[in-house]
Amino acid sequence: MNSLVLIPATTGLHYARVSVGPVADPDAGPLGAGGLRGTTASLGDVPAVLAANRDHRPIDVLTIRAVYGGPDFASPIIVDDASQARLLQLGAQAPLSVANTSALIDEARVAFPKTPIALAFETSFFVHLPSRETTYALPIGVGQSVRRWGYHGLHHDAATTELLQVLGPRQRPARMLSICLEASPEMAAVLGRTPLAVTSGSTPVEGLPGELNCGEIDPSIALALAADRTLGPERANQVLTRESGFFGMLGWPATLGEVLTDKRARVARVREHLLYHIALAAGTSLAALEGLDGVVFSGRYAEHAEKVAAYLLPRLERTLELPAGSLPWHVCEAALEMLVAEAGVSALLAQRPDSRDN
Amino acid sequence: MRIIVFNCGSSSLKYRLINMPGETELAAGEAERVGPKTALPGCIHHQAWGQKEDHTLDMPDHGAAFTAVMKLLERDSRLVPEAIGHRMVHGGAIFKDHVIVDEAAFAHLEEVQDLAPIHNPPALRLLAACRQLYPKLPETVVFDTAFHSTIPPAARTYALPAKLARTHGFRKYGFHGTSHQYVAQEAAELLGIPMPELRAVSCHLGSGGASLCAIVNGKSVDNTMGYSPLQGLVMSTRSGDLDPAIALGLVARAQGDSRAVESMLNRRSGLLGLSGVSADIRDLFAPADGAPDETIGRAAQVYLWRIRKYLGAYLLVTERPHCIIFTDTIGEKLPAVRWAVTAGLEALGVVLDPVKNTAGLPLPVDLAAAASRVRILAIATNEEVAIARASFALLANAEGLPS
Repeated sequence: MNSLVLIPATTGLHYARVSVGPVADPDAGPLGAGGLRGTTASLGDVPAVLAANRDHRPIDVLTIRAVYGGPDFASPIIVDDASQARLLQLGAQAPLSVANTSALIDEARVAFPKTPIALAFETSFFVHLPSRETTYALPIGVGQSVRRWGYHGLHHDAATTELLQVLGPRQRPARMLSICLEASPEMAAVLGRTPLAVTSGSTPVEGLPGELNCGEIDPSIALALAADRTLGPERANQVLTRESGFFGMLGWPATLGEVLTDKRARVARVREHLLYHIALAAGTSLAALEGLDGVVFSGRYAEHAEKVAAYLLPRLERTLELPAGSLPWHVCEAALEMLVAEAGVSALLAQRPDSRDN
Repeated sequence: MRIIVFNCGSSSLKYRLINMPGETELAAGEAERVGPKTALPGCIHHQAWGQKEDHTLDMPDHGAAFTAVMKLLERDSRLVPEAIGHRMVHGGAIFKDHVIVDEAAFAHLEEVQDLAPIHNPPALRLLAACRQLYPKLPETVVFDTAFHSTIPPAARTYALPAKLARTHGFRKYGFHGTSHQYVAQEAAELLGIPMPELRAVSCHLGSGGASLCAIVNGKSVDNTMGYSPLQGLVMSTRSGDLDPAIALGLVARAQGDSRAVESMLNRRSGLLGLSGVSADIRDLFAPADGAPDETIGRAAQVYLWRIRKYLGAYLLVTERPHCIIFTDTIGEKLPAVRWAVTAGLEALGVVLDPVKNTAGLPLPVDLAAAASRVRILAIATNEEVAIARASFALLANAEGLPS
């Protein structure tokens, strides 16, 4: 089946035409080979792009990557009026994400009026995270409106599924460390199919440092910035979400891939900072999982997983008293577009069980 | 040398007179209700030579409390202090080690007092009073942050714009260093390992504040507290770690009043905020009415889970440590906490002996099972002795004497 995948990003709207599922499009081939992908300012441009490329193959489902789905959406869905209304009710919890998703749904309905629209939520994988992990130690009434989430659930889900296959049949659920190497990297401790801990917080700002986000900081720092007369709360938020991380430490923009590979001394210091915090998070995962059976990397910078593995795995092996080189690790190369498409197709198939026979 | 150690709270003054280097306690006490008048008058609970006495008096400031304490001691020539050791919570980036107070040091101390607005200013006022009233008595300052001055850049740096971090002094300082260092030294002695070789995870679990410290080669390499004592573990009334976006959201909700949010996160969050009934984990394990309560149970779980996660993190950072150390009120006295945070960590070489853990054995004690690669120690902390040790070492060194 074919899905037109839409991934909202700060640089525009990424789109890709992806073939997945039980009925593969023979013309599509691997993602990007025969498919169509690009970035646009508006979804309305995409039909024209398809026409210009003389691509008239049917699109079975249009799938939007939604960062936030809250507790209501534990799996991908096909959008209808009721589900869109439920989504809008989550606006107070994640205003930007929900507004973007909802606006894109409206735009998609206009541009592709006859195509089912699916939502693939990054938070679905973490809906059932244990409350001891999700809860912040805030006063009753204040803390109930916020909780910890993970924001790369599609990658973690796919990566741990692959690692389970690599590890083979087991008598007890596998204890896995899933490290998503994206612009905002994220680590999850996963037991079988169940996440027990994750580095991100109520927002993706918390956790590991990223290309632009600060990651874990003393809450007093956020308060000090908010109280700074030259900044204030809104500007402080901008500093912590858009001007910190690798960019803030280096003074120039750098991708995670560059931080992991660049040989300059200044970048090496940032790399050491990142790797140390990855190691800390891995230690918390060991405690959450009570051991470890394997490590899996995913995300757009997974090609540099070896750099992280070279730092992390010997430490894990020494801590667990495992022979050097014995801890299994794996790289999940699935692109986000493919994962989003698969989620959309699965939602479509779940809604139309008869289509499984096709 | 008789060293009087002062531990200055915002409205209290604890003291212990310790004879060094033998570490014999000669006298001790606490002045309560120091500061503006309250419903009850101020009082000094004093004890020496096994005799306890209470003295009621007004103490409008820490200088007055200090004067009164010195008068009590000077009644007996065997109790006259020969040096003063002060505990200072925050030494900032200036004080990487403890100091003998002179004009230059005093000026620098004034520079760092705002870093710990609750604790540093009264300690500094006390120090000023001591200098004025007893100018010939040598004084030292022992910083909670000094032990953590060895935390490497990768751990102490926040991923913030470099210039902003420099301007505001945003970096991890770490706290409870005096206690972590003391129990680490005790652990090294107990295990027969030279301190410069000790690898340990020290768990200072107080009834109020709490922190974990990763120790490699006898030096602190990380601490769960950060720029301030707010970061890290869930504490009695402090939230510990929090998404910075939540902190900023709370400021927006409070109409920009950062101080109100800071107060809430420091004084009304943590166990108290989660449970709504008590800031003490001991109450949450055994509710007064004995009835199980979901809210209270969850508060305890969140508290324990955070300790457990950081314990795992530091077990990895220290790479097969010699020991885990539990200390301070909760760490020393609550077997259920020790059990909950170490259970199931066999793969990490940690196995607690359930019988020893609950036997109420005298401290220090090794509570690990025989099969445990990592020893699990409960050690009573003694910050006053640690301050006396550091002070004596400084003064002996200055005089060219063996310490």
